[in-house]
Parts: sequence; structure tokens; C-alpha cells
Amino acid sequence: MLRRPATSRMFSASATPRGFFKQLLGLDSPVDPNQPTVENRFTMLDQSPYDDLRKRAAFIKSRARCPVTGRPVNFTCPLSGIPTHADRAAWEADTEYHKSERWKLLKMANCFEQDLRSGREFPELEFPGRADDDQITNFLDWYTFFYTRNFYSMENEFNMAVVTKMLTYPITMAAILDEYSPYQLNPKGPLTLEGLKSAAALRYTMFPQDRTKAWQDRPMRFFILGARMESQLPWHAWMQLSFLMPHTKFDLVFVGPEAYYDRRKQSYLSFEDKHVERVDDQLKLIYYTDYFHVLNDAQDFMPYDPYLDAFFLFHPGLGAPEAMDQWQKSMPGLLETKCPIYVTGFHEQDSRQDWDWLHRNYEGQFDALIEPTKNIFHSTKWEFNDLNPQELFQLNQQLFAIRGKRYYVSYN
Amino acid sequence: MLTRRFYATYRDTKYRNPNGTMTMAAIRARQPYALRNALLGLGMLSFAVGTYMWAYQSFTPDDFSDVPVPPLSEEELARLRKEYGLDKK
Repeated sequence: MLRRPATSRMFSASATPRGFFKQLLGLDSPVDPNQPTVENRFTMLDQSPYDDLRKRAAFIKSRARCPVTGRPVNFTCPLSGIPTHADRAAWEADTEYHKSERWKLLKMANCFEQDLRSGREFPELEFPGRADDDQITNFLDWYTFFYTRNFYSMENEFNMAVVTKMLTYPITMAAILDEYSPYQLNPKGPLTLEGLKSAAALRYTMFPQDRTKAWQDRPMRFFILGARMESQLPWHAWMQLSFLMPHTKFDLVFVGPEAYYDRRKQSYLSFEDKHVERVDDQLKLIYYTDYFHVLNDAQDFMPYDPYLDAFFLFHPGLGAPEAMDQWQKSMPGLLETKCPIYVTGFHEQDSRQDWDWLHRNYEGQFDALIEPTKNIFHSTKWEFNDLNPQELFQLNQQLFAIRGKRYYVSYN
Repeated sequence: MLTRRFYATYRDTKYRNPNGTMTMAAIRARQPYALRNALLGLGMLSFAVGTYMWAYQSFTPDDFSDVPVPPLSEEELARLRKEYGLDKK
């Protein structure tokens, strides 16, 4: 069963002995002309053959501001193919832009967008099934993860971008919760002692020593607050999470006004009560289309149990002005639960803003579980903000975790 | 039977090119372990080779050239040769 197209054989058979030995030692890998590369995907965004990308370029030009002159963006950077500056003079004057080589990442972001629409085959979206009991997954990084889980062999960054953007949500969760988590204890890694305590409580439920007894009174609940993109993931992406915890029943609880998107109606729906989609015996997707503090005040989720529940906030923008007031209402309830709260961010500044906001408003009320760090399983797809094309981000790039402080009774 | 089974799994894996070399994904995944594995392999190889060398050395016939031999007269030598049947050839 060869998944590669037959043409690659032509290129892989080495003509020269030197080429053969290089390949034998793995020093040289065959190149398939059908593979996406930066060269064959690069186009100026406003001259792209795809309609929506041209529209996007027009949107950037109408809304974004040039960082040098402050005038509307109207000049497409010839290096990255994305409109970034007001005119050529401003583009040349922006030495920081050239020095930081931000255009290289912008170029990648551009190429990824072009590649998604190129209509090529996406064999990498064929995900593996349940692993055998004796197969251990290696969470060192994306490459070892894909290798040990036997995903499609990702030839280059384009394949990686497609898959990691989708799997960054479930695998970020799995990497934090797994027994063989790559986040090491302080000082070797970002995990604090309190973090280990919380993770150990969850692992006690997820990976029991004695599997003959019923150890779960109810399914575990992973709350995903402020869900937007993650609630639109197809269920088979979430199945990858259940394959990594084969002995655990769990519910994914999506909470937030944008938690349920109806593809046919092209709009976010809201329900009076919860909306449940059962995937299989092990996994259930539950949607609540209201804010967490409303549901928490109505005691819909009570009781919480740190052995069974965890919260995940995928780029919530805690400190962002537009979301701050809602989080201000939700955060006391979240800290009250004493369950771990894992928070990711788009980029370092975004994560830092959330971290600082928490310290400003809730100093002394929470423990750090994971110090702000780079998330190992972030999306490798670079993306840019339309309102400020120079702001580059990756989904779930940064990670930290907190938990409401617990007080111990002492008898002396 | 066993070889056929091995061969089938070997060909079925996604991490091999049709000519049997590792794909880029496999190389990237194995890279963090490449140096340590190479050192371990080198260590094991040198142990094996060392054992062979030592065994070869220890079974080579001993060299007695430094042992002093007392001087013998011609008659004595002839008598000994006759006794051990060395001059019959």
C-alpha cells in the first residue's frame, strides 16, 4: 500500500552511486514535483487566483494602517506578497521590518493560505485510529508525535500546517494531561509543584493502576470556555484525544455564545438548554451557548471535582479590552472551582497581557500551575491579523496554567 | 513466513520512500535521538570488536623466544632428535 503517487518513484530512484549512498544514509530525500513548496505556492495576495484571498487583500487595504506613516495600507510587500505599508518609500523606510525578517514569516503565512486553496490532495488529513496498548506516544514534539502515532509522513511544512492547525487543540490538551507529558517539573521545565498536584489528580482518574474496577462515577469534563474555532472542529479531530486516553470516558463541554456554529444556516445558534452530540461510548460533545458565569451562577455544572474536571481557555484574551469585562465576571467562579485552568495565547505579547491582567486583578488568589511558556503543540501555520498584517500569530503558541488557591487547615 | 511478514510491514509503513530510505518526516522524528543512538551503537560495536580482539589475542600461541635455552652439544642434539623421530624425514 504505497501512499505516494507513482511519479515520486522516478525521482527517488537515484541515478548516481553517490546519490544512492546519500539516500541510503538518509542524507538526501527525493523531491516530488507535486509537493507544495514556497516557490510554487507564492503569489501576491491581491493577484491570487483565489477570489477570497483577493477580497482579503482588499479588506487589508481598506482597514489596516501603515506602521510608518499611519496612512491606509496600499503597497504590497514584494518579498512577502502581503499588503503591509502605505507606499514603497514607507516600506523601504521600515528598517525594523526588514531587520527582523518578519517578511519571511509573512511569506510563509501567504503561501499556507494559497496552498489550502490549491485543490491538491490532502493525504495528511487521513488520521490514524486507536493505537495498540503497547504503543507509547512520544510527546517530545510534533514530529515524534506524528511518527509514534503513525500519521501520514509529513513531507514539509505545508503538510504540517494543515494538520497541526486542526490538531493543536486536542493534542495540546493531551500533552498536558498525559502521563508522559513533555512539560517537566521546575526547574527543568515550566511545571510547578502545584501544577504537578493538579495534573496528578487528573491522571489518577485517567490512567488508573487497577483497571478491573469502575473508577469513574461520571465522565470527566473538559470545559472549553469562550469556544469559537475549537467547537467547529470535526469530531474525528477530537477522537484523536480519546485515542490518547483509551480508558477514560470524557465530555467536552463547549461554553460561550459562539460555541455552536451551524454550517447550513451559516450562523451561531443559541440553545435554551445544553445541546449534546454523542460521538461514541467514550466521548460526548456538549454545547452551552451562554457565558460561563451565567451557567455557573445557575449551578448548571455543580459539583466540580479537581479529579475529574479541567478548564481550557484557548486564546481567551483575558486582558484584551473587548473581552475583559466578561472574563472579570467569569474568573471568580473559575478560581472557586479549584480545578486547573489551562490558558493559551496567540503570541508572546498576547499571553503576557493575560498573565499580567490576572496578576493585577487576582493577585494572591491563584497558584501558577505552568509558568508562561511556549506550547510545544502549537499550530505551525503562521497567520496574520488583517487589521495589522505585521502582527503574526500561531494558534495556541503560548501556554500557562493557574488554579484557585487552596488553603490547608493546620492544627498548630 | 517470518521474512515475508517482516517485509510486508516494512513496505507498508508510511515512513519509507518506495526505495526503502526514510522519509523526511521519519528523519525529523528520529533526529533528537540520532546522536545518542549513534553513540550507543558505537559503544556496543566497540565492545563486540574489543571482545573479539581480546579473544584472538589470548588464543595466539605463546612466544617463548625470550626463554633461555641451555647450550647443547652435537651428540646430545642428535640423540634427542632420534628420540623424538625428527630426523627420519
